[in-house]
Amino acid sequence: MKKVIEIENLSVFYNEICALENINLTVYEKDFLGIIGPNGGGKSTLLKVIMGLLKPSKGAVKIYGHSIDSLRVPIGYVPQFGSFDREFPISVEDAVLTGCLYGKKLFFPKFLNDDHNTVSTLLKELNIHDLRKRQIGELSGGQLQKVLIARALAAKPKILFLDEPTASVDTSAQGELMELLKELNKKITIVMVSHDIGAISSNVKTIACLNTQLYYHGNPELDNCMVEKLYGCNIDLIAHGVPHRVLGTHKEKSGKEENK
Amino acid sequence: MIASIFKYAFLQNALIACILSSIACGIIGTVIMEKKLVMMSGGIAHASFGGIGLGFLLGVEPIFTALLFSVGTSLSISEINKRSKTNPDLLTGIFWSVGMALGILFISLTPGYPPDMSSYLFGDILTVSRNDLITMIALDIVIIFLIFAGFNMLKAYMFDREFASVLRLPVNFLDYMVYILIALTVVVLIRVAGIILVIALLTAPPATARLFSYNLKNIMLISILTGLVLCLTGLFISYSYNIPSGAVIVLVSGAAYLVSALIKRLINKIRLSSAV
Repeated sequence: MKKVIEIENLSVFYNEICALENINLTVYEKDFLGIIGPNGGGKSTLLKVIMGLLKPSKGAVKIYGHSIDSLRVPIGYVPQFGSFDREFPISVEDAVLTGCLYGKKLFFPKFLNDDHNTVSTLLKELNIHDLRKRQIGELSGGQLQKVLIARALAAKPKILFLDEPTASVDTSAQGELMELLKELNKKITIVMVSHDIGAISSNVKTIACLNTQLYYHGNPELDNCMVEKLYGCNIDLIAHGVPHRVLGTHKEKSGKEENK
Repeated sequence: MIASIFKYAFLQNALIACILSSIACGIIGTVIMEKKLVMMSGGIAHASFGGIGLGFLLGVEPIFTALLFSVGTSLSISEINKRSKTNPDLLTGIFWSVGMALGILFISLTPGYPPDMSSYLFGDILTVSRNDLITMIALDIVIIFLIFAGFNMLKAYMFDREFASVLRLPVNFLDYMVYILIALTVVVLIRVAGIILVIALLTAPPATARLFSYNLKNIMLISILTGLVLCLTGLFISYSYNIPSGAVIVLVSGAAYLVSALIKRLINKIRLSSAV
C-alpha cells in the first residue's frame, strides 16, 4: 500500500510548552484515520503541522514522499467554524469556487468553465445546490459544513483533512456527514480530528489517540467499556487497554511536569 | 459654489481630491473593515505623525517621511505579530503613541518657530496642491490595479486565510500587499481628513455600504459612491459656512451612517410586518 503521510520523530513546542512529543505515524492510501484525544492534546496542532500551517520544532512530515514545501498536489482542508468569519460577504457558490484557485496565478486568475462545472456538480452531490446564492452566514451548521467540504473538494485533492467536523452540527446532520465521508473515502484518504468518540469509532478505519504523545494507532474496535472510559478518564487508559497501567502513566506525567 | 469652482483652482483641486480619496477609501476601507484592521489603521495614521515631525526637522516634504513611518509601522506590526504572537492590538497601541511622541520630539527639535500642525492633524482639503493630487492619482492607480487584478485571490484570502494557505495561495504576499496599501492610503488621506480624522473616511463609507449589500465587489463600489457623496457634501458645507473641512466631512460621514442604519432598520421592520 502506498504511504500518503509519513511523520517521523515530530515534536512541536509553543515557547516552552510541549504540544506534541516524538510523534511517529504513517497513513496509507484510502485510509480513514480518526484522531481523538482530550482538549489541548495537540490534535489540531498535529493537523496544522501536517498541512504546513505550523513548522515542526523537530522531526519531519512527508506527504507522498515530499516535504510540504515541495508538494505539487492539492490538499483538501475543512477547518473548524471558528477559524473564519461567518459574516464575510461571500455566497455559497463563490466560497466553493475559491477551492478552484489552487495552482492559479495571483493576478487575473481565470475561472474556467470546467471550474464552474466542478462547483455545480459538487453542490448538487451535497444537496446544497439550491442554496448557492445564499450568503454563508445564512446557513445552518450542517449546511455550512457541507459548503466547507465542497470548497475543499473543489481543489480535487487526494487527501482530505477535517478539524472537528461534527462539532457545530446537529445529530441528524452528523449522521449524514459521516455517510458522506464514508462515500468520499472510496476515492480519497481522509484524516479527521474529533473529540466525538461516537462519530469516530463507528466510522473510521484506523484510530490514533493523541495526548501530547501518540498513545495508540491502529484498529478502531475499542470495546464499549473502553469508549466509556475515554470520556471520563485519561486517553491513555483506552490507548493501552490495560487499566493497570494507570499508575505507571501518572508517574510518567508527573515526572514530565517536574522536568518543566 | 458651482460658479466658484470654475473660478478658483483650489476648489477644483479640492473637488478632484474628493473623487480620488473616495476611490482609495471605498476599496481599502472595505478591506480594513472585513479584515478587522480598523484599530491598526488608526495606529498607522497616528504613527505617521512621527514622520511628519521628522520631515520638518530635516527640511524635506513631510508627506514622504510620513510615508516611511506608516509603511514601517504597518510592516513592523505584522512582522512582530507573526514572530512573537504578541497581540496586534497591543502592538498597535505602542506604535500609535510612540509615533506621536516622536513627532512631538522632532518638532520641538526643529529650529525656529514651530510649524502649524493643524492641517496635518485635522486635514484641509481646500489646501490640497497639484503635487498632492499627483500622489493621489498614482496611489489610486496602484490600488485599482492590484485589487482588480488580484480580486479573486484577495477574496479567498480575506474570507479564510488558513484555507488559502493550505491551498498554497500566495498568502504572505497578500499580507504585505494589504498592509502596504493600508499604509499608503492612510498617508494620502491625511491631506484630506488629517491624522486624527482619517479613520472616519475609512470606516463610515464601507460600514454604510455593508448595510445594503452582501457582495464584496458591490460593497466596494457602494463605499466609493457613499464616500464621494459624503466628501462633496462636507466640502460644500465647509466652504459655505467656513468651517474646517476635515471635521465637517467626518461629521457628515457619522451622521450618514446613523441615518442609513435607521433606514435599514425601518426597511427590515416593514419587510417583517408585510411577511406576517
